[in-house]
Amino acid sequence: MIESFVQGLLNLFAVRPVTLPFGEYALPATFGIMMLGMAIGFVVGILPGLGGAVTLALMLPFTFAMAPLDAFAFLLGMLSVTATTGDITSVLFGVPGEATTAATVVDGHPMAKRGEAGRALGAVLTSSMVGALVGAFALALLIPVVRPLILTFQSPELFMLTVLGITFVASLSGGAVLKGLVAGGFGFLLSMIGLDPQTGVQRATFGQLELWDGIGLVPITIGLFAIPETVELAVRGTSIAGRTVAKVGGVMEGVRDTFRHWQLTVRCSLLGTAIGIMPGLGGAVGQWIAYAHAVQSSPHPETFGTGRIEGVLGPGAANNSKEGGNLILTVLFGVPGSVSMAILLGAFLIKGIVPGPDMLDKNLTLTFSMVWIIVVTNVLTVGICLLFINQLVRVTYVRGSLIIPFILFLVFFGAYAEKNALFDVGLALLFGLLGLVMVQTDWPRPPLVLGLVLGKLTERYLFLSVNRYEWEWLLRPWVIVFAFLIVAVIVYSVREQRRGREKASRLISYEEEI
Amino acid sequence: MRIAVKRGYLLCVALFLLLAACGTRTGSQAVATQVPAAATVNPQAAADFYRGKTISIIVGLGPGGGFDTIARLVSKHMPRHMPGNPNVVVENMDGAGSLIALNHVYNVAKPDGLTIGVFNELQINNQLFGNESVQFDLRKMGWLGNAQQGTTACTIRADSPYAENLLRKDAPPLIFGGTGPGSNTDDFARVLINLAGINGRLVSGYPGTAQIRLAVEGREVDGMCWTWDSVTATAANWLETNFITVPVYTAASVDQRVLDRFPKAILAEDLVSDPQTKHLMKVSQAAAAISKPFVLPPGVPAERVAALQAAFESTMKDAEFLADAQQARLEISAHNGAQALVIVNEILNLPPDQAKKLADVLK
Repeated sequence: MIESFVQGLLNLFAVRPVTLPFGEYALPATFGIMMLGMAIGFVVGILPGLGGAVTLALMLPFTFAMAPLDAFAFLLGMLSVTATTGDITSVLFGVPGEATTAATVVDGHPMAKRGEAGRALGAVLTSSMVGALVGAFALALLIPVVRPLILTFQSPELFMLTVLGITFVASLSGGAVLKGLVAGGFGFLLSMIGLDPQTGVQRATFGQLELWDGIGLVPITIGLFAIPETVELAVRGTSIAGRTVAKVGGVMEGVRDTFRHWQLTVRCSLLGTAIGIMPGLGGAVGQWIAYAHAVQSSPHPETFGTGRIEGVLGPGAANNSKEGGNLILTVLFGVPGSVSMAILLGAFLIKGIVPGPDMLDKNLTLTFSMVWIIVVTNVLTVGICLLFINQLVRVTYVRGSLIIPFILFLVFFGAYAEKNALFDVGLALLFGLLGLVMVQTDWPRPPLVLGLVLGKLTERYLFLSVNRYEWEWLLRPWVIVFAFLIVAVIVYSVREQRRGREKASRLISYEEEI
Repeated sequence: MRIAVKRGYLLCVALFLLLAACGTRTGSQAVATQVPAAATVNPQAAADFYRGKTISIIVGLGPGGGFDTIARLVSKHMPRHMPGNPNVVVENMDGAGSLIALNHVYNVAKPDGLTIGVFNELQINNQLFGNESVQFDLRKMGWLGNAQQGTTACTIRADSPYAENLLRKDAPPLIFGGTGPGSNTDDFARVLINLAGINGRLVSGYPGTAQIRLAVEGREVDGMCWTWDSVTATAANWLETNFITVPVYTAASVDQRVLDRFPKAILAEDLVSDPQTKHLMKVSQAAAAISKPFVLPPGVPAERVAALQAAFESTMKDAEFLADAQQARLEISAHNGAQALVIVNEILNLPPDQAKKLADVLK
């Protein structure tokens, strides 16, 4: 196994004769093709509107003539870049580049407003890289047990996982638990809009076909987070970075932050990997759970949302570590975790690679090569980004009136592009209004998004569990383990809450005494 | 002009019925050779019109799937077969199981022959059952044809008591996994349970066939009904290890590929003897015969319809297109426009009481 692990890496750099127009040379062809994929990924990642999935679909025919490893290097290289660059717009403008980078906005953008965009970006990029590395190594260790592990997770276990996820709403509430629960509940309700997945009954669709598939996560997160920021920027009349605190050298500070909080980064990476290998949870869950964990494990949970570096590190790490987990799910079971992975699965089939146990046996070297591609492309992406990020950060010092049209372009294009639907632009505007009201009245927005992300999953797996097992599913061993975990999390949060209040009241009485 | 087209169609319908009666489906290629409808109109007019223009193919599903891939391959190869060599581009308009795209193509797109719709063929059932969100009549659209003819196979775990005898009643119900109403995973399972009387139960609501596959492997469900192409592509190790068997499948006619692998597999309608039920079963699965359909809005000038129909038909036979499709592991077994329209009419002409019965079966 270790042999395959090493060989998988070596294969990426293997030199072989390549015929070029001006003669035949021995070149590391796979590596070259990977770089080409990354270059395309950069262009697409920076241009709004052309998402990672569409690009993969467009590029797929070009892989027909390639050797399998080259094809995967090309596609995965592209995918890794688009996953990372999404964080950049999240931090700089508060516009989540993709649904999977929304959690980075919550603390990343306030840092940019404080003039610390460089530090936030340094942190998010470095933690992404660490995430990818930790994720890859965790997978390498897990490979012997991963198949039975995944098969243990049937509908009842997945349902309990989503419930566990819901308990994190409290940590995302920024101190106002009641408000957080209401916002989370509202998100839950929103997730019920659309055709009910079991019987096809229309729920709250108001005759709008666009609502049949439910409301999209992208327009809502863009609306909730980006539009209030843009309005605020316009009202403030300054640049994004209200004041110039940090030097441009802040990027290195962010890199150091990652290692200063290395335990958190590693924990969130592992969390991301674990969620990544759960079939059917999707990409958007991991980052929010990681964010919640960052909040929970901090001694000052109440300061999150104002630009805490931990709030950037957690989702950054989880976001890229999940890719490895997703990949395992795709190669081992043919279960793609995202649209992009679905297209990658298409590429596997085209190359005659059949997902299944063979991928951990006969084709283990190829599987490891793919894991390595994720690692190598992430390291390279981060390296390249760090080189030009200093220039990018200057954007936050440009006068607001000049930058707002560009941000609005990102907002509307981002909302439109997921489904090419004008309806989604209206939705983003509507939720922009809601976001504005929530900011003004001090309501936490992350629980709403978590409710929206988890609502449909919770309903789906509860229905499947009851329909399949009636009430017997409650007695499954893992369900019971999760039940205990859920209770423990709730007890812990309530205790923390109370302790926080006592601390606060003690502080007040102390101040009164003085 | 519309009447002339209609007459042309009728002619083709008659011709096709004749051909269908003579020929049987041989393997993957079932395109009958015949003149496309309204071939008498002036082809020069079409060439003049299409020169330098761009045709959009609106795909009612997301990027990357079978529908999208076929549309993209058609967009690559069809220009060669079009008079005037226009560009062809693909746009994705995902949502409501292609209903949005189909309503758009029927009502909003200009009938100028520059917009082609590709949609999930199961939408025909929505029209049959009189779904109020349906704002189209597939019979009135310009049919270019369809690229595939689907076979839906029920894969049952080989250790299930139903693997050998599907109709037994003395075991706990056979549990099928499904992705939701209106999908072939649900519809075929319901037909088997409600029309063929199989002692089964449908657990529906899985996010996709991939997740049902996991549920079959994890023993949460016993089997699933899905396209044979997907079985061979994504569950090849099930076939290798004899993890599953296929006791029953559905297709327009006997599918030798299934029989070669599972000699005991029978067509679904052979599970019942009552002719009316047999017919109902056939109609319930007939949409699979027009899989990956390409249509035009109603009212496109006849010479452009004819040009597009001819181009589509020759694209489906184009060696380079077929080679690309094979690379993408997509088996092409096309119908031309007239042939597809015959099937469309056959499905939509089901008497209302029968349609009501079928709707109840699938509900």
